[in-house]
Amino acid sequence: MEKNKKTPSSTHNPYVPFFAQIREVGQQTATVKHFRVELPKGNVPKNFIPGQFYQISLPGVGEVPISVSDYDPTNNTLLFCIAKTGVVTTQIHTLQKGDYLGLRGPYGNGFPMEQFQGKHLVLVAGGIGLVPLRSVIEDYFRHQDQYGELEILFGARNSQEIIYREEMKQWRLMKNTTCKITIDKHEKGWDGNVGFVCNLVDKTYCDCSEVLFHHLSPEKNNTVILIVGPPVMFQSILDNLSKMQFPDDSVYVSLENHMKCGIGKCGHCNCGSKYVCQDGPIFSWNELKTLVKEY
Amino acid sequence: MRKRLKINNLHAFLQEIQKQGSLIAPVKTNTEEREFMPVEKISQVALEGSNPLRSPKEYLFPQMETMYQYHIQKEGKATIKETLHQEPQIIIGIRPCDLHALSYAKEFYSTTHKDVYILERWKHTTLIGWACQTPLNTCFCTSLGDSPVDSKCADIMMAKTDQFYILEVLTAKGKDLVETVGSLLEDSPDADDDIIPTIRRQTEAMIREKVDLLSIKGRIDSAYSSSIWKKYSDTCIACGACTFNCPTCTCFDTADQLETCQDGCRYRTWDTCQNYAFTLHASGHNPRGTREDRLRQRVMHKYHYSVEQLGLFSCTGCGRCTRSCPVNIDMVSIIKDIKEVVSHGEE
Amino acid sequence: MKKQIEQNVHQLLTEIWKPGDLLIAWKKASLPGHRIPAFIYHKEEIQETVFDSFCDISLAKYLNEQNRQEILPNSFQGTIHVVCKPCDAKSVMQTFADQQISEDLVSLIVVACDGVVNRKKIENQIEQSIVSITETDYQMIGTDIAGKEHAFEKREVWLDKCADTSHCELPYYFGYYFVGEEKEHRRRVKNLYRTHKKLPQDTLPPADLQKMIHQELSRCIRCNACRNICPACFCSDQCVFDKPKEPVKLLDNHVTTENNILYHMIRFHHVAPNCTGCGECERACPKDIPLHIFYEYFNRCMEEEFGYKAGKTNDERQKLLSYNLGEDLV
Repeated sequence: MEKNKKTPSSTHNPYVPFFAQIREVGQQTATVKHFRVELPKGNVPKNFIPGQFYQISLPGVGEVPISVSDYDPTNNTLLFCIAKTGVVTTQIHTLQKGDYLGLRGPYGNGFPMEQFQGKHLVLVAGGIGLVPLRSVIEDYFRHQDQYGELEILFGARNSQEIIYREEMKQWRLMKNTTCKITIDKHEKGWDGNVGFVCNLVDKTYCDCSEVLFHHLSPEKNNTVILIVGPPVMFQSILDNLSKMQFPDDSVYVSLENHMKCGIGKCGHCNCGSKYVCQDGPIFSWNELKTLVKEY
Repeated sequence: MRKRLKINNLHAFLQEIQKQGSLIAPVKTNTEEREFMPVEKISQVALEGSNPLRSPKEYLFPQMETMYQYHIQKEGKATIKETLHQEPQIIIGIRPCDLHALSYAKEFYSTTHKDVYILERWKHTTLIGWACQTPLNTCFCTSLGDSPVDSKCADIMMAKTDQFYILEVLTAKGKDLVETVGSLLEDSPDADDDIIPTIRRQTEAMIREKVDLLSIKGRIDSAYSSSIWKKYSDTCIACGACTFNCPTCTCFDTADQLETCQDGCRYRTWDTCQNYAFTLHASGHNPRGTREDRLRQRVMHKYHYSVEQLGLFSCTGCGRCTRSCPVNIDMVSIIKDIKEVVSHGEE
Repeated sequence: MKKQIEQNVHQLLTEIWKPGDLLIAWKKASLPGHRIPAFIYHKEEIQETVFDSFCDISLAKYLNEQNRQEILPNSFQGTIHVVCKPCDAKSVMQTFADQQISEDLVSLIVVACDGVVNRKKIENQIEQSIVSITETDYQMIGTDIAGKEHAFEKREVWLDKCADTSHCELPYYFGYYFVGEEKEHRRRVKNLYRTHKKLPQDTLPPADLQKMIHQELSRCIRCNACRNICPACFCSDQCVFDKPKEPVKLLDNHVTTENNILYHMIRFHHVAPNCTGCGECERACPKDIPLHIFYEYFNRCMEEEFGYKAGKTNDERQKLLSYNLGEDLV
């Protein structure tokens, strides 16, 4: 162990987490839980941008990057939706209300919401991809007068994996908002859309020979499409949008990547000359095209 | 300010500066190789000769470093104690290729979110450079536009002639150190002005080859899709020995370790982009799953991505990658092929 | 004599190589004394291959499944010709026995070898930038940048394994080509064979042995060069030490002497059944850790306990991983 002098460093240490208390825990699906945590006064983000993430730390276990589903400035709480996939997330799932989580952040660039003002938003989510998009949805409802219409297209593998069921019921009731869900394959008792979410995009937007996006007129450029999901999914959507000659500065994608430090130092999320944790995880389609091909 | 130190006063000089902090210098080890190590016996210090295989980066960025210790209380909240290293140290005998590497690393760790651990060590470290007179056939610093006598971020720059050493003092830290050994040093007259340029000319003439990378700086991305990478990756065994000895490789991995059920630490260790698991996603997808991808990543990062990020090559031509490689891959061959592809288009 | 053998190898290769085949051999790299593996798909390049005392790298590594998949083009249908020294040939045999590659795909060419030099030994002694290294029958002559010549007896600078010619035994296998005088080679192996080699395990008392092992392995930087170059280590990307999701703390990256010892002990146990003693691990180590004290000892145990030596034939199942019905349980 190294000796430790008493003089603290004058620079803030970005590797050391602060602790936030869990105020609410809820089960979304069999493997997904949501946690609402309250930020201590000194750690309220100056300017939270939807799409950003925090590094959640459990001392003794490890650290994982998790997107923020919602930041509520009225009570300084963050909402995280976490899927149980590995060692750390499994441990997080055992936590109760009143327990603490270590946090570092917010990191990442987030969606450029100021560029979406006055435009219609189309959010396309594959599975757990709806989690970061929810922060966009919440921001939309807080400032609805600044934006056009909102369309949410959500694809889940099966009906068991649909998250935010209660919230979606609320969203459908809001004005200027539509919400469509699809599952991959037919299921007993399901009478909604079936098929990949990219087909939902096609069916709604690409197949019709009339105006493709009913509130889009390509010359006016007043729609923005945000896509979060596995690469296979967004690649397929981008291919179709490309055929439609949809402008590539109006489509945004969130890239998932293996991250460790969250601050652009450890090199794990390095992608060409960009660090997904700093220059991303949100990239516009024209930026995505310049990123190295391995991604 | 420039000073002279007589040849036979070197040991006395080292003994004096050792009082100011932990002295790290190239020392002769049991296996006859020289390595940067904390000096125990002054007589073991061997400043002259070729650059040691292991770079001095580990004294600013250790292979394994505890970042903080924690004591877990009830409900999972933990009290955290940072473990910053603030002991003074002096590193001597650093060749300009390593000085260049250290200044790149400092710049890298100072962007946006500053890496406090390294910057804190840096604050308490005095760097004494050494003008290089014995390059190996694997050295290629001149290809990157550097010279074997650049003082870069050194606090003091040393050079040797037959009768004496000269010490060029470059920073306040260097001046403070030199003042503690005042009596051993003499002033250096104007006649000494030519020493370092002469060493530069002589050493540069000994460097095997110069590949002009400066003329293609910023354009190397056009080599991304070429067949160069497969040519070398067929041979490469992705061991990562090159990255461990490379003075500009800065990647690391973090992990937690519990000593008891309540006390533990978060530590970091060097990690290598040549490892399969480096970019392995939780979903099982791996964007750099083949050795070709990983070799390309390493070389492109050194010669292009770091140029896009910081405007600097992150290779300094020290040649340690070539020296460490168990299958004899020569970095100079790779950059020659890159130059060929970029200058003339794909073959 | 060396030149003759190289010519003989070229002649043989030119006869047996067909369009669509791959040849893995050595060729000169740009630095003096460096030889690099060559992957040859065109007949005219065969003449570029070399065979001399600098051909240190074992080419058997490139035959295992993972490497092969990454090296071979998707459309490859031909034969892989591999040029080997006798010590490497054993690794190729073991690769067959481990079912990493079917022997139908491989044509093995074993070349009579009288030792390979340890380039590091020459470089450390010359210290200056080396301009050229040439070899005569018994000497290596290095010329430095100042023009000074340094001569070394080959036996002073060869790899440690070359001093024990039991490593040069030819495999019991009928499917390979041999280039050189076979009788002469077998005589050399027999006459220069050292019946016992003293390892620290034989000479040091236990407390000193432990101290020595601690001292050597404290220098390990966990670069994984030994693991990655080992022809017997075919887990490749699935290596137990690289599993990032497994919460087994003993296998983490904490670089301490204890963890290093654990790493090496686990690795040597894993490869004990198929280690042929090729010594690549020791050659690859950037810290010059004498890994032979481990693998020679493990191999000796395998021979004494099980009467088994890896790499002799192409089909013997690994002793520690297989059993015969009716065999006594250990």
